Amino acid sequence: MSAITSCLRRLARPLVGGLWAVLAVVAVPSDGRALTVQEIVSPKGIKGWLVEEHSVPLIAVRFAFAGGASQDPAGKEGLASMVADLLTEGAGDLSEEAFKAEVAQLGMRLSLAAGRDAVYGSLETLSKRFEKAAELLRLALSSPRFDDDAIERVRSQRLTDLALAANDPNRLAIERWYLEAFPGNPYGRPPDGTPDSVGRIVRDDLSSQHAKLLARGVLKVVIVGDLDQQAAAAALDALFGALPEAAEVNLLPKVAPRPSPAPVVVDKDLPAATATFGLAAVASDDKDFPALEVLNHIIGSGDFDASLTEEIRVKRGLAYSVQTGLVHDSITSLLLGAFSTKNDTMGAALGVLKDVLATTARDGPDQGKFENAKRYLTGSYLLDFDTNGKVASSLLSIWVDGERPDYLTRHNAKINAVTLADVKRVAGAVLKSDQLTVTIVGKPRL
Amino acid sequence: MSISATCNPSWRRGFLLAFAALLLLTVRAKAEPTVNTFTLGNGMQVVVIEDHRVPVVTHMVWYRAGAAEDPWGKSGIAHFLEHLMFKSTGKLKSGEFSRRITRLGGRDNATTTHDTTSYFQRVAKENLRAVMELEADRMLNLRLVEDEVTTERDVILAERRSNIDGNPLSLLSEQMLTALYLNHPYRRPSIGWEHEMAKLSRQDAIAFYKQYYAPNNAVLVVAGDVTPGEVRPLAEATYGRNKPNRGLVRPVRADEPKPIAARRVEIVDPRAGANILLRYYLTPSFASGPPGDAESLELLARILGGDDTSRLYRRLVVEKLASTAGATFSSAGRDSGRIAFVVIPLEGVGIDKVEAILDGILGEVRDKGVTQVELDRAKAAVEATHVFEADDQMQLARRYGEGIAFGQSIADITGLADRVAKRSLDDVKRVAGEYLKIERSVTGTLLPPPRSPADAAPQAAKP
Repeated sequence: MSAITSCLRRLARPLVGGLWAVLAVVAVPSDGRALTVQEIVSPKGIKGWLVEEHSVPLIAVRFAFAGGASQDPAGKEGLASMVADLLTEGAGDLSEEAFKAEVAQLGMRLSLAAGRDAVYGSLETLSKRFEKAAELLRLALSSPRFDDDAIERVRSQRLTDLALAANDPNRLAIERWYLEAFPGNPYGRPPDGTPDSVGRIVRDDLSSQHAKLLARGVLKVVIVGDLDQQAAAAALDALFGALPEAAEVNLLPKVAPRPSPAPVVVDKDLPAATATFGLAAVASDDKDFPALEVLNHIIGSGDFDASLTEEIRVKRGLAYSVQTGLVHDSITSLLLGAFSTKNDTMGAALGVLKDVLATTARDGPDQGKFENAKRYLTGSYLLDFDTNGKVASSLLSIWVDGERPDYLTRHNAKINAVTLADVKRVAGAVLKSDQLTVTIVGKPRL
Repeated sequence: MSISATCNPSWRRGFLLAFAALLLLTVRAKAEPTVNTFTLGNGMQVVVIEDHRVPVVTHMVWYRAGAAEDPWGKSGIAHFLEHLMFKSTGKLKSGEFSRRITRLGGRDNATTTHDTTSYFQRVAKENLRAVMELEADRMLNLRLVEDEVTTERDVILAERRSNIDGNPLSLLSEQMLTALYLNHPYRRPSIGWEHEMAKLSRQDAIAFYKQYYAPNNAVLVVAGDVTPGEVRPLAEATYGRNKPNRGLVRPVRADEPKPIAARRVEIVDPRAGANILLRYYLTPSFASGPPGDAESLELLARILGGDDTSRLYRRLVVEKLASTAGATFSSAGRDSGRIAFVVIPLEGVGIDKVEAILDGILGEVRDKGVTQVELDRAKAAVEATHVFEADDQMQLARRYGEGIAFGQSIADITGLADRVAKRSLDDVKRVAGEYLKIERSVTGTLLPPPRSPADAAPQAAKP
């Protein structure tokens, strides 16, 4: 097993140029090579996580500004999402055309997008061109132009996307799920808005939301690649130093999803019915979370021996894929799943789903599945850390979940400590088939 | 590769380009992986790609048989067999393969294309031997039970329903490929036609398996924290024991006739949220056609519609006629490739209007070619993509596995970025003239039915 086997901590030490490496966590795989996460603080006081990886001449940056679409004013849903789109549509002295020509010439990858919880960004570039690439990202974040022309273009693109999405069963099912589970809560609203709300957004909305959301106080940033601590600290200042310190965001209080007594059907004439189902789950900082990870793998990994796949696909051929995942949004923690089946077998498939949940809640999983899940979760952990981009994404989500960088070294120990009794207890607490919220798109026979 | 060369005097520009080329060499020397190949006594080719960053390996077996080998009337059998490969063997009971991979902390999956069927696992390096034993076992020892075959057939039908039938754009593309290829088996969907899938049997699967699943029809790729010296004895002890199929015969794939007529396909579907225009042109691929043409087509497609600086984007999206406009070169076919264009006009803009503009743009490129700035930018994009791919073990393994399965050499595959860098303005103009001819094309339109005033209300959920 290539699990991380030891952990070293170095004391803070000063470096040239005012940079402080506050703490370095060293995760050493079994063969002695290291994946070292350094917590750095730039001269201007911006915190970041850094992994130096010099074997490939690439640099990946991932960051999140907490807030996102949950901050959209009522009636202006889709605002954060449009702000994110417009950041790369012209900035500083560069027109839209000039900005995009520079991006193309550098061969860099740049993307910005808003989710319910945050505005997320990603930059990947050859390390030789990092400085130029970072300069373009700095411009995009700190001086977007919000030209009228660009606003109208992005708006019309958004309206077309919404028209297409209105016929996408997976997207309809999940959006309806959030609406049913969080009625009256900003979280229940579609992060990309509606045709009406997107139509209402004007330039002032965009520039004021930009000023509210993009601030150092709500920023988390991870850099992975071919650069050292000093260069990374300088990059933090270059990229984010011009942004204001304080964001104007109202983070929402925690709330549990509302169960719906009967499945909610979105009527669409489709050959298959598509369902999203979900339950309240325990939070990622809860002591029972590792047991929930094991439980989620046992029932919904999508592997052939996962309980739901075994019962719905392998034994009955009702669906091609049935999977569950753990979602830890800022306001709630969920176990969410999806599958699609013929319209006239939806009732039967839902019956099997509820049976699997009820049986697992009552009896717990069997010993074999329990052991397999633990072996998979510990053994596969390293597989997510093989490219700069994947390392950066994984670390950012660890940070966003409120964990420390040494989570890497603790993850497997946490999973190994889970007992069958833990999983059974968590199954009893979470898998309440009568508390399910289910939304279905199609013409299902129930 | 270009460093803002346009705004510099020519002497300076020459200097900058030379400097950029120097940088490029340095970059490539570091980014290009070490790849070695050898062949086992039974004819199985082995490719080893070294990547020592983390103690993980990607293990793949590629069979040189895919949906293009489906016998007539049995479309979908290659893909169906791929599903059935996870059932029992002489040693393993049904589902045990994936269960063992899970227990090893690994991931596994499989893919069927028209040209290949491939199986892959990602595991910690110390589990490589176990995975090789399992994959070598199911290469020859699959046991299929009637009941399991029948149930799995329902699964592939469900897969078709959710991935193709539930999505009108997928249906349009499927119909367009059937029109693009008049004679070659690429005209049949790799998942199969529903009416033929519903009749696929255990015997059909076994016949395909016995014909094509053999070491002399397979390529093994191991990428990751290994050396050829470590892989060779493992490969000999596992796959090396499998007997080759001496009677292996691959049916001749029919060639396309000379295309003489442009074709059109239209689907009207209430599930279409917007008008969509697609256009496919038949072209060579990296593994087929005159040397260099695919490389030129790759650059041409990027210049026409690869990103927001492209001609389609500037003329259609920036001019507020379309929400989306782009082009891609699908190069991954053994026998041919295609350039695909997509345009989604804005509401109120007719599909014939954007089609006329698309045809105008293609006409200009055929007549006048592209500019040096465009060519340099496209080369920079190809180069960057190549380096980004080299960072990803799965993508690297896929690049080499597929290329070798198509009959390319390691040098062919490794040299792609260099060959692209050598293409000239003339090369790009010539392939535009040769392949972007309307008689080589299929135009597809997806349209919602005309709306009656009664159902004109917006469909999206409101807060």
